Amino acid sequence: MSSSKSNKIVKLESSDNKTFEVEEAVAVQSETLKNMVDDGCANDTIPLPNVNGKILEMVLGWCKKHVDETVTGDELNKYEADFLDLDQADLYGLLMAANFLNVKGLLDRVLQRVADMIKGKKPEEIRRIFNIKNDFTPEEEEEIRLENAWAFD
Amino acid sequence: MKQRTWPGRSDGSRFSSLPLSKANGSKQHLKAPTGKASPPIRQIRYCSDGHDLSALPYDVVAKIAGSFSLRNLRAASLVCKSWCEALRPLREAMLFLRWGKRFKHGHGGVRPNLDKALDSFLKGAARGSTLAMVDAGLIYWELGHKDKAIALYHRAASLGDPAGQCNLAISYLQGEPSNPKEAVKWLYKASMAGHFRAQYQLALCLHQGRVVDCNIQEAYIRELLCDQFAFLEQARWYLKAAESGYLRAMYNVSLCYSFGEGLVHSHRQARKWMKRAADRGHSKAQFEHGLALFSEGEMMKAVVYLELATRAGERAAAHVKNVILQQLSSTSRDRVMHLADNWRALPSSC
Repeated sequence: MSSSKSNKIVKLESSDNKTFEVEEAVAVQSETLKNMVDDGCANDTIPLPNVNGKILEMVLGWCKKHVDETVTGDELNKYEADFLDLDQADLYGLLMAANFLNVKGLLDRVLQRVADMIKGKKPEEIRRIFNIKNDFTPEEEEEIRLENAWAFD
Repeated sequence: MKQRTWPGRSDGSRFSSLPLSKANGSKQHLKAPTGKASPPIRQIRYCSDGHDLSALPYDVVAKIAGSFSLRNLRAASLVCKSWCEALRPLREAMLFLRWGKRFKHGHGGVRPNLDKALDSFLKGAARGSTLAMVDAGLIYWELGHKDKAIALYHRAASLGDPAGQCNLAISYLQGEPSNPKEAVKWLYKASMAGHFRAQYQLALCLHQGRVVDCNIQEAYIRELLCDQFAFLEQARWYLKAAESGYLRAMYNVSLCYSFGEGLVHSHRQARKWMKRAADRGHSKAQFEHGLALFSEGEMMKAVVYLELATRAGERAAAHVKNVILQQLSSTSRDRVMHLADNWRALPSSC
C-alpha cells in the first residue's frame, strides 16, 4: 500500500534538543539514517546526541542542496566551496557529524579541507591552526623525529 | 602553499589578474590551480567545549593523511601524541613505498624486481597510503591486470590523491567502452588540486569534444586552463630573464617555484633563486631569504640579510631582525654589522 516515492518525513533531534524535520530523500543522504529508515527505525524522532543543532542544520542544508534537482552543477560547486569556509570549532563538529552520519560527499570534502590546511606546514603551525596542545616531551619528540630518519636519510 | 606567520610577503611585480570568478574576494594574483578552491584559513577562536582535532578517531586522522607526502606525514606525526599514533600505519607504509621504488627501479643496491616491488607497494597500500596504491596500480596496469589497477586507483582517488584521480580518469577514457563522463569528473578534481597532467588531459577532452553534457561549467574549466597557460608563458619569460641576470626576474622566478605557478613546485629552486636575487641586492629578496634562513636556524646569516633588507628600506625586515638580534651576544651583533657594512652586491644585468 505504501507508494515507492514516499513523502515521508524524518524527525531528528540534536544534542541540544532542537528538532528538525526533513523529507526522507534528504535524510537518506546519510548512510546511517538510511540504514535506520530501511530497518524501520525511523518512525519516531531519531535522537542524535553527538551532533549539535548548529552542525545538524548545516549537514541537513548540504543534504537538501544535493537532492535539489534545480541546482546546477556549477552552483553546487560554489555552494560546496563556500560551505567549507568554517572556523576550527565548527570544522571539528562537522567532521565528527559527517563521519557519524556517513554523508559521503560531505565527509570527503571536509577531510580534504582539513588535509589542505595541514599540507606544507610545520607541526607548530598546524597546532596553532587547530588549537592543539603539544603533549610531547622534548625527548619523545626527538624520538619520533629519529624513528624514521635512519630509514629515509 | 606555505603560509607565513610574520608580515605578509611583498608583491613585487606580480601577474596582473585575469577576470576569474572566485567565491571569496580578491587575491593579488591569479588563482592558480595550486591555489585551490579552498578559502583562506580563518584565525582560530579558542574552542571552549574541549573538542579539538587532537581528539579525532584514529581512522579519520589516517584518512586525512592518506595522500600525504613523507614531509607532510612527518609534520602531522609531530603535532600531538594521538595523531602520531594514528599515523603510525602510514609511516610504516612509507617504508614499504620506499622499498617498492627501490625494487622497481633497482637502486639502493637492489636488483630490479617487479614482483617484489608490487608486493611492497601492496603492503603500503594496505596501510592506507594512496601513494603506494597508485604505484601498485601502475604495476598491475603494466602487467595487464587492469581491473586490479583500477580498483587501486579508485581507492586512492576517493582519498583525494590527484595522481590516483588522474590515472583513474585515464583508465575510464581508455576503457571499453570508454566512460568520458566519469573520466572528466575525476580529471576536474585532480585539475583543481593542481595536477598538471590532469589539466592537460582535461583540456584534451574538452578540445576533442568528448564531453558534451556534463555538469561542469566548461567556461570555468577553460578559464582555469587559460590561467595555467598564462602562468607557463609568464614563468618561462621570467626564467629566461633571470638566467640573463635580470634581478627582478630572479625574485619572481623564486616566487613561481615557491607557489608552483608556471614552474614545477620546488622549494629548492625557490630558495636558490631567492638567494641569487638577495646576493645581487634585491631588497625584498634579502628579506625573504633572511626569513628562510631564520626558519632554518641559521641565525647569523639570517640577520645579516635582514639587516641589508632593513637598510634598503624594507621596514618589515627590521622587526624580525630585532627579534633575532636580541638573542645574539654583543660580539655576534658586532660581527653582523661588520658583515653588513662590508657586503657588496654581486653584479647583475639590471
